Order: sequence, then C-alpha cells, then structure tokens
Amino acid sequence: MNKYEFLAAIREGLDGMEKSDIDRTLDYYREIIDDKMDNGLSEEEAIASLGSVKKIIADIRQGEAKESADTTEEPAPKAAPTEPSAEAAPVGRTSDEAGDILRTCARVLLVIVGIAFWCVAVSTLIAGVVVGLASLPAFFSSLVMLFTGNGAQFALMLGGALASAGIGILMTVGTVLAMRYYKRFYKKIRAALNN
Amino acid sequence: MDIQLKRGLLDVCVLAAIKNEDSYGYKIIKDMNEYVEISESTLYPILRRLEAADLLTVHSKEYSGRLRKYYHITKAGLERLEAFRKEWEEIVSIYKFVVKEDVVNE
Repeated sequence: MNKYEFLAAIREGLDGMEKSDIDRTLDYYREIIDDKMDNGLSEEEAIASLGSVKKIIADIRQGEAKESADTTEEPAPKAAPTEPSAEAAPVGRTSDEAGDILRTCARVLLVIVGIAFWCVAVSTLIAGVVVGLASLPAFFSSLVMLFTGNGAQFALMLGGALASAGIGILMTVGTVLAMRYYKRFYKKIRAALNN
Repeated sequence: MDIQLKRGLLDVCVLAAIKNEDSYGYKIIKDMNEYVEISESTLYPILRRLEAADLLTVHSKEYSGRLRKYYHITKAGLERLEAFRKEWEEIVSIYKFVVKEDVVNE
C-alpha cells in the first residue's frame, strides 16, 4: 500500500466525522509517514509500522467519542440508549438552553413518578402483609371447626386462610420485586439524563 | 494497568515530552517510547484532548518543503505537570513504605 492509498483508506473509514477533523487526522498521519521516511524507512515500511487501517480508524473514532464526551454537553454516540431512556435521548440532543429546560422538566417528572410509585408500593406492601397476617386467625378458626366436627366449615375456613396467605405473599413479594426493578430503571434514566 | 490511570499518565507524558522545547508527532512518540509504549493512533487523540483543554497549543512550521505541526506547552500545561509531580511524590513515599524490607524483630 502506498501513502496515497493508505490516506484514502483512512479518509474512507472516517466517513461521517467532521471534514475539518478528518483533514486534521490525515495531516497528522501524512506528517508521521514523511518523518519516518526521512528517518530511513521506506514508504511501505513507514505505513506498515502504523498498524492496520482498521485499528487506526477504531482508535481514532474511540478517541473522538471520548473527547466529545469530555468537552461538550451532548451525549457521546457510544452511550447506548436503552428502552427507558428513549425519553432522555432526544432531550440530550437539542440546543444547550432548550435541552437544559427539557432536562429539568424530565427530572421533575421523574421525581413525581417516583413519589407516586413509592406511595403505591408502600400501600400494596402493607396491604399484602395485613392480608397475609389475616390468614393466621383463619387457620386457627379452621382448626377449631375441625375439632368441633364442623367439616364443611373447616374446609371453608381453611380455603379462605390459604387464599389469604397466598394473596398476601404475592402482594408482598411482588411489591419487593417491583421496587427492585424500579430502582434499576430509575438509575438508568437518571444516568441518561445526566449525560 | 487501570485504563483511566493509564490514560491520565499518557497525558502528562505527552506534556513532559514538550515541556522543554516544542516538539512534533514523530519525535514525541520516539521520545516517549523510551519509557512507555505508545502508538501513533493512541497519541493523536491525546494531542487533540490536551489542545481542547488548553494544556498545549499547535502551530505549523515549514520543514524540508512541507508543513510540520509543532506542539507547545502552555502555562496551564506546566501547572498540570507540577500537580502531577507533587501528587506522585506522596505516592512514591507510600510505595517505598509498602515494599520496605521486613525488619525481623526477634
């Protein structure tokens, strides 16, 4: 590969980047190749010493992504937006001021949703515990029925007790799981908003 | 080595390479490679980042009928180097303590 082909391959691989950035990159590599040749290497050796075109392009793109994450407000393209942050992604790409306003609104909304969720979660948790506990006296009653020979009423009480216990367990466990998933979801959205 | 740590270390290395006199890409890599391995494609984003952070400036000078980019350290760049030196003085003394030979007290 000669210098012209090499630089053309780099330019092609950087397609999509800002033209000034691409030109600057090409100047950099052209200069290095020339310096290496001035220091005794042949054109082919100089180019070979730079490594594969693919790796060079990957390194440059990675470097550019880090730079834009460090110096600008907009989120780096590599920050993979997951489903929940579909709301956050367009927010990050608008102009600075509008973006800030939208981001603040999104944050406020997130807080409101959070409060609502926790109210519901706590209520369901308490209700679940109460319903589960209610099964205990029901169990005892059913035993009393059994020993006083009331077969039918025993069966009824037992059934009610089991149902109560089951629903109570479902509500409690379900709410705990929901809380856990909500925490994860909340963290993702917060991270996406803060980028 | 921790990626973030290495990234920060390479940044100060590049600044050190241009501390005493302006230098250019090929020479920076040659000087640095005596101490730490760095490739041309690793150096490039570092130079861009340091320039964006105003730790160095770039200017072009003619050399052998072509234009060469020279990198010049700024006052902020020198301050960054000084901060690094101070920070690592402490790290070195801790390191010396950690690897100190065990004294047998019998």
